[in-house]
Amino acid sequence: MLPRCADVDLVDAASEVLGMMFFTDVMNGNVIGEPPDKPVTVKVEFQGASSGMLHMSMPRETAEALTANFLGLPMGEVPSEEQMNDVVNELGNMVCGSFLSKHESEELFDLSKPEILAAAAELPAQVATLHRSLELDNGKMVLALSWDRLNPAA
Amino acid sequence: MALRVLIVDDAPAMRLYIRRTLQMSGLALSAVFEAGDGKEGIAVLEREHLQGAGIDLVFTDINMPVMNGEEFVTQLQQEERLREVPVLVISTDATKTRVLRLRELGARGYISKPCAPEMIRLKVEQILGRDYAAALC
Repeated sequence: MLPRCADVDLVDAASEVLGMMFFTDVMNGNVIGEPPDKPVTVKVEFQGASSGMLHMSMPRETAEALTANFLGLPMGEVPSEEQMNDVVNELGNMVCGSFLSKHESEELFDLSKPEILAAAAELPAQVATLHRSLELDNGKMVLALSWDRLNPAA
Repeated sequence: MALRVLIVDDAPAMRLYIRRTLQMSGLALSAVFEAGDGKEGIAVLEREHLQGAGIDLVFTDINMPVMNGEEFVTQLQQEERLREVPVLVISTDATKTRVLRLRELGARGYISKPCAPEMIRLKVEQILGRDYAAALC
């Protein structure tokens, strides 16, 4: 059984971050879809009253568009690999922190330094992982939240 | 009166975002400095203080290597010549416990990410007062 509103809060957290800081709207937060091929994937681990990790995966084109929006690059300018990785790391950090702040409002938590995974990395498939696919106005994204509070035995 | 601002964050993209937001907000800026962690931030503050210009406002993240945001704020409070410099924390960790702890340590304000550009400008006005409103376009 999911903690109260975990799935809604995860999509809300991503929507708020993308809307406020990346000028990107989430058109649909409940799309069932396959992870993108050769994606850009960021992983953020967290510890505190509860622990777990968040993976965010998106096609390279989406990552480039989000990076350009965040950095305010001129129209048509393609961000460097370093810029893209830095921005995707920051995106993962913000979405994970925003989600946890909704759920752990009284408890301190620590976020790991976000890490870009190799393109071939697969998203976690454990039972205690919440998956959501987001359809964005400039691409798509898959979220996978592994969290000890999703595990009924925890 | 034009502001001299220091941005302390280990993520270059976030430093650029804050810098760009400040520049677009209408606040008059005379200098924007950057540091990748709290230790570098202290070094910039001391250098600028020694040169006589000082820093009017500091933005800092919490999670950083070498010296994190809490340690940075704590050390600033222990430096008599630097403790009056207002510090505004920008972080994803918006738990009540964290915000209260930072306030106790001496931070003057807190912005939780995600934050709209208008929020950054509002907080600057709240912390620095209306003297700076005259500098707004």
